[in-house]
Amino acid sequence: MSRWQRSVSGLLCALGLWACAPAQAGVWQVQVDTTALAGTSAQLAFDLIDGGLAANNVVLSGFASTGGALVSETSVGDVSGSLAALGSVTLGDSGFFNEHLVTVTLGSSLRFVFNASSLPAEAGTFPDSFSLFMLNPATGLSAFATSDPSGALFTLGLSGAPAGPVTVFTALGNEVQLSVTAVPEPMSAGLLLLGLCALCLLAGLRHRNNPAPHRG
Amino acid sequence: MTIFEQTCRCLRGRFGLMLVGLLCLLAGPAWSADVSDKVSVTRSGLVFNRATNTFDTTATLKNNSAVLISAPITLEVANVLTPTVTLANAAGTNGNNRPFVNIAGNLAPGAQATAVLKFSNPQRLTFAVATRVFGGLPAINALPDVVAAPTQFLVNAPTQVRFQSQIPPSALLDATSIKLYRADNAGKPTGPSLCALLDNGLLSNGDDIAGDNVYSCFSSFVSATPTAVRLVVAASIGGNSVASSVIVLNIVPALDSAAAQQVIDGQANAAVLAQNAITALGDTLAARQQAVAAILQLAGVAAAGVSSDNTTIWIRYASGIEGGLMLNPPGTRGSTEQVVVQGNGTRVSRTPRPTEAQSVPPASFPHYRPYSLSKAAVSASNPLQLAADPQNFVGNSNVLIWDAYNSQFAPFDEGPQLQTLFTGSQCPLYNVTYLKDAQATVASVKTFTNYGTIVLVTHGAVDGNGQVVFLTRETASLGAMLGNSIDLLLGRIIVMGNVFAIRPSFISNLPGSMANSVVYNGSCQSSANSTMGDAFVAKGAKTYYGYTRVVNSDFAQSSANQLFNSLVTSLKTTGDSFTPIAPKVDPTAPNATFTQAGDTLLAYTGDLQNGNFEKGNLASWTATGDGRVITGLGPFLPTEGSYAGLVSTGLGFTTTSGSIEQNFCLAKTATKLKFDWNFSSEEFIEYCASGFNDRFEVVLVTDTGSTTLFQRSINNMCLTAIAPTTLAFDQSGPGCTPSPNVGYGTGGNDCKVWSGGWISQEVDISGIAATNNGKGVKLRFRASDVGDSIYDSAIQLDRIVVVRP
Repeated sequence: MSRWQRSVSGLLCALGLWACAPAQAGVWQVQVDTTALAGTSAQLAFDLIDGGLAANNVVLSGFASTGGALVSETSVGDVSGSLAALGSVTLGDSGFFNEHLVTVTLGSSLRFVFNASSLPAEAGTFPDSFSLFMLNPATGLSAFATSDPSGALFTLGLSGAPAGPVTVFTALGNEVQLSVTAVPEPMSAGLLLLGLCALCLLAGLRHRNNPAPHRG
Repeated sequence: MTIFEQTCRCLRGRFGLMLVGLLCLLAGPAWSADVSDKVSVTRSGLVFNRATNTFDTTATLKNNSAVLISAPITLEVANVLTPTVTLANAAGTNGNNRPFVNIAGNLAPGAQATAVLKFSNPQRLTFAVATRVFGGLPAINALPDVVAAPTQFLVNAPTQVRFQSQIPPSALLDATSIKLYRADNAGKPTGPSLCALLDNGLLSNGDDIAGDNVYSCFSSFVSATPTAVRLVVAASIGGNSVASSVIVLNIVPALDSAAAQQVIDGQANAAVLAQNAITALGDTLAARQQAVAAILQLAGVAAAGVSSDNTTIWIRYASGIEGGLMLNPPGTRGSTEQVVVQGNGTRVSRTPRPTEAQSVPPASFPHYRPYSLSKAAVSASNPLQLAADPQNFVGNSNVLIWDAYNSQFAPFDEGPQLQTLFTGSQCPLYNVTYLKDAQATVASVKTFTNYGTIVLVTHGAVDGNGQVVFLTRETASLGAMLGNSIDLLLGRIIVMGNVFAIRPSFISNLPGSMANSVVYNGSCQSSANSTMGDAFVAKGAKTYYGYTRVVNSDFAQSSANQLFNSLVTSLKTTGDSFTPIAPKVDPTAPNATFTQAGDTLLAYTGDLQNGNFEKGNLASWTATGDGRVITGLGPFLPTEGSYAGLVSTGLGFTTTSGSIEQNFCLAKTATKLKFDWNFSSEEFIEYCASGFNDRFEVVLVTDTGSTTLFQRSINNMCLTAIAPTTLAFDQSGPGCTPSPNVGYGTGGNDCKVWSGGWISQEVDISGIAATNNGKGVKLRFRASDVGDSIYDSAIQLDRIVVVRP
């Protein structure tokens, strides 16, 4: 193993150990196929509703639209940042109702990532809740009916469980197709990196113990 | 076909003769009961519904019990703190004005159901709710037992009696229908109601706290002749009239001084006659029979005889008082020389009885378990044979060593050694009360229900009615006879020699109940039959030890020491501690056998018990002043299950500040103390930043001192989120007129109780735990009144746990 190879292995191991630190957050990637609504205007409502004493937050980032455009952003409550200007928005729960409203011209799809902490609810309270709606900008109501009675596209209960639960709803008229995918947690990634690290080290030892035969 | 019939048909069809179906067959129609202890409720996070402008959550109900809960099932939702938040999709409100939603269908064991709750929250404030589930259970045929005080009084003395009943909330309960009636021979209400029991917090109605589900009333009684008044409380539940079991008030004639003196003289003369006969004929049955013949000639003696033990002479006086002479062999716990040694009784002043307290402590209510055996069924069978309760720990750490004859038994007296054993234990920690000789009075027996362990070291016998009795050390002087006249005339105590003796009926009529107590009765013949053991078990004791015959002190001492050494030092169960005791038969005549009855799985524990108060009483806790268990306080429901604790600065008839405390072994690895608390006070606003600063404290006492783990007072709570409530204490409520100006110095009263709402608290105790090294500690929750006791404060408590890895 060359010095360069050993350095890379060491770095991977260090990264792996760092990533193995306990995590309370979950990271999800959201992809919305909006082909059927392309060219129309809509508002995406990101709601973080405080259920009690637990102090949770959600960070939105990586917002992108294919064939569409982000028009404007407004917020209510404990919200900071900007998807357009700063690339991320943080919703806190120091108030009851915290909302980031993003007005968009829809293209064929849009996507974003969110990272949510997950502290459990105390007795007598509710879990904090993060949800996404697609609203009609003219009425402020849901742009279409979903399998959720309130019209949400998905909801996430911040109940202490590191991976959700995320409940994804379907648009009853197939106006949009939603995909919510959990991004492997740092701990999982760390274990993967540790495994790779171990393989590299093992390969290095084998190379040292069994040098290739000379050719003449 | 009714829902009940549908349910029963379904059950019988599916499960044949399984228990639930059998209950349906036996019990009649279902009624709606609080089934919150059987059904868990989880709530999803809130989602904003723009169409209805509500914040919606999905409540998931799961039946965790083995009993089918039948429709109609309702989920009651009480907003804990924020008055502007309302349930927008309520199907109705129950008797307590709390909204509910309906849950469709039945809930089979293990089944789940969901309901959407839609909250209107125009001000968009964070809020919390408490929920309760009501559903159909097999019919309940009786209301909880009624607590009355006093239950016995004299003829021609008009007496006001207070009646209280703790009735669990039910959507079907008509709270205006709860009334007291006379009972007919079948135990059914008859005639017009005597008073209406209300939960209105009015002292004039006998009620301590409004909204605590304890219903109270006063009713006056007077009678010119001795009688037993049979009463029941009845109420309408779902349109059906349901009654409590019968409670009896005994009205007895006054005992005049001449009759009392006649008994005193009769006892003294009878002792002389018996001694003369034994001197002439030896310690024989013939001597006793000769003595009885002579005793029958004494003035005031109506009847006399030799008891079934062929040893004791019983005497019945014309006044109705019963007496007797214990004539056990010398050296045993019941010999003539030992009992009569104090003389004629007129020269020994009795131990002063406690003065009537100015403060009336809160009543202790029986735990309402409608599906357990009825009391009648229990007493009809042998209570000692009942199956062990799943809870097999001694109910509290209070130990009473009631050593009535230490001056006679020493050095063969187990009392002092057991005192050393209990006080020397570092884990568990015990609160030991040692009453010796003259301290062992009739009044002290009335405190027996305070103790988890009762050690009786005294004389005993079988009386003329075949009942086991044990002796106090209280001399039956004229004053004492008159002071105890009601119990004497009711036959609950008798005069044995020249002291009072306790009958089983005295034990079974003690106020309150014992907390899974272990009772060692080290007197002669204490288990000659089951009468005394039955009385203790019916009162709540779990295990009873005694001796079948007249017992010698050295054997009793040895047996008791072996038993308690194992129980206290090894924390073994009662059964495992009893089995290896040797010998179990007294080697000296008359060869008494040491016996055990009741629960063989009872044991002492060092763990914190009943931290969620779900035993329905203060089992494992010791209360001082106003410490009680409630099923709710207005809108504030328990955070877990059906019960919560409460300490106050003196609500209702209780005028002294309260605390509850419990001993437990603090594990070296313990990290946190967790508890839920809710501070409500009518001092808020009026007395913010003043000297009237009621306080709530949590204190941990170790062998090196006490540490205040947590403290909140009116003044620092005033600076946090408090809100007005619908509660009513002494200086608030319906009869109160709010002042225009409120605030300290104005003298005004807003007539409101304010509250901080339920808060889940965690306190780091790792440092104390590490240094305490596993020893026993005392945890105390205390309300204290600073300034005066006019404006009250109350702190609810729930879910008290010590966290350890």
